[in-house]
Amino acid sequence: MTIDCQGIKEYIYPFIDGQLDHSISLLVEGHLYGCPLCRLEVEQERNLDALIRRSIPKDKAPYSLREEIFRQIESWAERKNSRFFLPLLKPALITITGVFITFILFSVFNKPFPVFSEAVKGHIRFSQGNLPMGIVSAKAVEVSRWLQENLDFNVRAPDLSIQGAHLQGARVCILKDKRAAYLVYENSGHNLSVYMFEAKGLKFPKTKIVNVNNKIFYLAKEKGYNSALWIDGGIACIFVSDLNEVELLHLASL
Amino acid sequence: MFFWARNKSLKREFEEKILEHIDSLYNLAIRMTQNKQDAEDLVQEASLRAYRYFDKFKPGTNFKAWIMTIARNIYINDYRKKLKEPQKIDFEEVQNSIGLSEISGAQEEIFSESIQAVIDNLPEELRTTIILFYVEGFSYKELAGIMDIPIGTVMSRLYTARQILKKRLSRSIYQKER
Repeated sequence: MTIDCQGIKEYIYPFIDGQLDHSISLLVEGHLYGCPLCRLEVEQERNLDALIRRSIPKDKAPYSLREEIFRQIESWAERKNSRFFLPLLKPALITITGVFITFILFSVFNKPFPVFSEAVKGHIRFSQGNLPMGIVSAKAVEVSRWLQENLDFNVRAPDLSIQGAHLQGARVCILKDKRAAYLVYENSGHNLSVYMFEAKGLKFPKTKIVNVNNKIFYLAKEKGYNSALWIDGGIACIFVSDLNEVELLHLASL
Repeated sequence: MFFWARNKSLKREFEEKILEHIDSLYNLAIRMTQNKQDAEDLVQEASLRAYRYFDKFKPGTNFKAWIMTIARNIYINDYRKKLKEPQKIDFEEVQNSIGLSEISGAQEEIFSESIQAVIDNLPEELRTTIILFYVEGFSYKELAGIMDIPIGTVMSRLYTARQILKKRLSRSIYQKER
């Protein structure tokens, strides 16, 4: 395929501009090689182009403009950063506050419940032999009578002998500013402390809750001792022992 | 922290790029607006807009073409309306062109003087096309992209501009010699 002098016309500018496809460019070159007239025309156009290129004014940006642009970019970057963070500030504060409150609540709830802690403390003191009994007796009736004499509320010493826990004695103690009956049982080598006090005003611990025979037991484990708390007829009862949870519940639920 | 660091490196990268092309940008702006103050404002606006949308710029593509496009769009939307368009040139068929190989040094000087005036009197589309093509060396395809026109239109604008310049050239040389 070849092109003639007429056909080359539309390709001259793209040709000198270097914008022709390689194959067409080769065709144009082929024609120019054999056609001095077209060659001259292309040469003239090239000269005109060079002249135009040289003659077009080329203005340089004033230095102050560069400075101004950099200053604007700087201030925009600052604004952008603050704009990016400002809308985040409120949710961030809310989130932080939320996390903080959750943390506080969590630590409060996870704090050993005071009644349990005191009960366990008493149990440890007794186990170490540092808690003398007000009455030493294995007889529930005797102990109950003694308790009635020493307390302003009515409690009876539970008889746990069927479950294998034998009464040792009792005393009066203070549990969370309340006078409480403190009884000690022995169950095949394990000590069992039993606290009984008026449940009025007692805040229920946020601990593990189990339901045994329609009775609600609050369970806790502290310093290696299991505790179970329940309320019966206005009297709160706490069992503390190194017995495991199931054994403790077995004693408490009957 | 990552946000700051990324922003900082993006900003530095942008500043380097804009510095590299600021003369081209300004030259285009002054040819388009034909007014120093407008040109400076336009360059500022284009630079800041480019910076704001720099995350949309695809790395590896032509930054110069990208920023020229932004500048041109700002000019079209914000400046062209308020500026008085220069007198349109009637694109009559150019018959009497002279042989350019015969131009002497003195004639070229005359031509250079008159060519600036001629360019300034061209319609904006042709001015911009000439600047982007001759000064900035964009290809037809890039020109089409920057001005958002088909390649055929780029070619016809260049053709028209060349014919006008050729015609003015012969006329100015003819007038000076007379």
